[in-house]
Amino acid sequence: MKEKKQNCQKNQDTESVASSQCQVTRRAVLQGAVALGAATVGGMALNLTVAKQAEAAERAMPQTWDETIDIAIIGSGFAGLSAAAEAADKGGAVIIFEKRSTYGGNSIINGGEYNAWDDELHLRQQLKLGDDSAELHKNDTLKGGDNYGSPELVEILTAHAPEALNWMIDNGGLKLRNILNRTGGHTAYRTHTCEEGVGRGYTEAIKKIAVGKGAKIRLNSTLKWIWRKDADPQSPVEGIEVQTGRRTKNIKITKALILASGGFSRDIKMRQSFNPSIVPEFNCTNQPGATGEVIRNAQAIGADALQMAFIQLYPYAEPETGMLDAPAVYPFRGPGYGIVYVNRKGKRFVNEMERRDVVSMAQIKTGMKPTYSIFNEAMIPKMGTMEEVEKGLAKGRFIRAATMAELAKKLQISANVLQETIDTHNRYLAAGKDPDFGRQFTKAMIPLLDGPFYAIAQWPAVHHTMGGLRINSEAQVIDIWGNPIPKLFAAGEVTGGIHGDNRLGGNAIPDCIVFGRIAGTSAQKAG
Amino acid sequence: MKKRWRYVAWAIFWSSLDILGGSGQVQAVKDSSKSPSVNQASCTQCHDDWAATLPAKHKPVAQASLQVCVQCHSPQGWGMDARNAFDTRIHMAHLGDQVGVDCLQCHQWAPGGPLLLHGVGGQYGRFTLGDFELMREIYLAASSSSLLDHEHLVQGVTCSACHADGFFDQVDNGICLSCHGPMDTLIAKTTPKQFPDRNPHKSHLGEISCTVCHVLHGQQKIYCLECHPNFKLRFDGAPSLKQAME
Repeated sequence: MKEKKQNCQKNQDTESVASSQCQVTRRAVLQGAVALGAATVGGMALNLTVAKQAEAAERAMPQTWDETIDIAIIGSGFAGLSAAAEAADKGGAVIIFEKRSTYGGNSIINGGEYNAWDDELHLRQQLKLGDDSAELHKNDTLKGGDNYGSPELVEILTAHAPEALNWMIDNGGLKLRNILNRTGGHTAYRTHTCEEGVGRGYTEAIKKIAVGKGAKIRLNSTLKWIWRKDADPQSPVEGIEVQTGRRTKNIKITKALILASGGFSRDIKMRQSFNPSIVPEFNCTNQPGATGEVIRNAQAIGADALQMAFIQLYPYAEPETGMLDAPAVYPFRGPGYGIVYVNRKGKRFVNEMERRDVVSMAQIKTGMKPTYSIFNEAMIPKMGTMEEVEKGLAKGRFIRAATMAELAKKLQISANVLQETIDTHNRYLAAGKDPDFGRQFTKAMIPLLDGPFYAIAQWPAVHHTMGGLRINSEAQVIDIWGNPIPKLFAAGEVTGGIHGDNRLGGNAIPDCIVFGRIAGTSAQKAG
Repeated sequence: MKKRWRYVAWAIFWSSLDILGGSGQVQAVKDSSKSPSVNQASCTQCHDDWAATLPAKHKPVAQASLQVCVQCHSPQGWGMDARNAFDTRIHMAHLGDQVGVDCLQCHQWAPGGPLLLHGVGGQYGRFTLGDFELMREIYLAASSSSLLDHEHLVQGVTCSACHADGFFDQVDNGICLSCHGPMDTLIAKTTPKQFPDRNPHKSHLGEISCTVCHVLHGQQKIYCLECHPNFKLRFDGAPSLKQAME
């Protein structure tokens, strides 16, 4: 304590810190940390930890700035593009920095599923798929994450999901398929699919809006550091250090910095440090850029992060590579129409209506890689398109057979066992009761009576990191003391505390876009 | 063809000066004040036989100095060559293969300051030590390597043909396609028979920059393979260095 006080005084002498009293306050503790860690004072950037340690190493504030812009956005996925679209609405220099050489991050290869309890086309009503509401969507989302998610933030996500979807349709030219799915953990048919069947449908729409309003995207540009003088609650983010090729620039930010850099599923070391059970041997559905350095950079200037151990496996990835290609979305879309999951012995092993974490763990517990989704041709137009399935067949992703016995032969499963499994499931569906796994049957489900029949192999792969930076309802990043960091915002997978310990499939896109837009609007008001 | 190797005639090995080491590191970009005084930047300091140094068809010059050269060959800045490729050729001759002249023989510079030419007015941007290094590497590669920048140069495509607005100007696909296009032709050429949608020129990433894969100042890379390592994709059809020289 005494040492901290001394350090505090030392800092007071040399730095023009706004504080008038020098008690052992949280501010003093932080200043102490600066002095303790750096053993130097005056003009230094914040240092919360030991000197010379990775991203938390001591860095002196730049003497000059190479460039000044109004709003900087890190990442060009759903969240970054949405933030840019709103931020650029009122003019000013809005620039997205993307470290990869192509835009779109993970979003552009995302499965393309968007949950909303309504849309301007009223698909659910048109397709006669029952009822839904913002309240139901909210409750499913909270329950699906075992109530670890923030009810306040989940309410925002679910309430604004339809209007964000309509925004992309009206202003970005987004086109939806004429289908609606009930997917794992949801109690309603609310999962929309864009025409392209991958996230690109949405990224292109939002990019069109953002670029149309004057936002710029700088590729090959990596955030190296966030400049903030100290962790005083009044101390704003002042700029960023960005590397493009071998040039490093210090860029002054007048209004706001928005972090929209995505999750850290491809950051094996970081994954391991928070959740050792997500072993390196797991495949991953993400692109190579999904690493966690931006979270560490934000932590280095005092940002809080939470629920970092909650890491999601996608149950239906391509077993060998972990790829989430177009066929890998069919097992996810299928449960509402009667798709059946079987293990390599031809037996069901889980309630197909279950959440991703439950299905993934059930697969791993079969002890036999892979498992299969079984469906028939009548389900295809409900879940996707015949054209997409034909392409998947040509690549060997889907397997087709005229009869169940032939399908079993192609999967090297006992024909008798598979037939028995499917017959039993058909009986349960007819009776409306599943004594084995408690599947919640609906009228929209199709029994597997008529061929041709289809199968696809599936296995869990690391997919989404639910943890990340702590934000409030304005998308402001919150520091470790509970105060918003001035001029710093975040949205999308880089944030944490929304989805709880398990994100429901189809909730990522509305999360990114709803909070991305909020971040962009808040950023305009900042500074 | 006749112009192709003309700049090579300019390449004379200046063994008495600081040269680029084999490691590719810049050995000597020094503060101007400490560099050998070449205030008039006279070419004859090194080129004893000035008449033989000039291209054969060059009209006579009054004085072998930078001041005189730039009267006709107006410098574009950042090694640009929009007017007549002089900037590219002069840099190539002095920084290229086997030749590593100290930048400060002609340029005046101090850390943090602008880049100047000895005895010539005007500034050429704020240079860092890293920029000198970059220039050296690029000219070295461009003068003799299997990289695409060299292949472009030997075909007469000099720096400003792509970097019209300056050294760090990102190259627009339109510039590439003005020679290599139209895009539809490229798409047709690279459509795989077995899996037509695995076409690098028409992928699920939409329109991407040509230089994502076709890196000019470095090794080309197939971006698709970063996520799809099992795809059988390779570069094919680009003229090899040997073909270009024949």
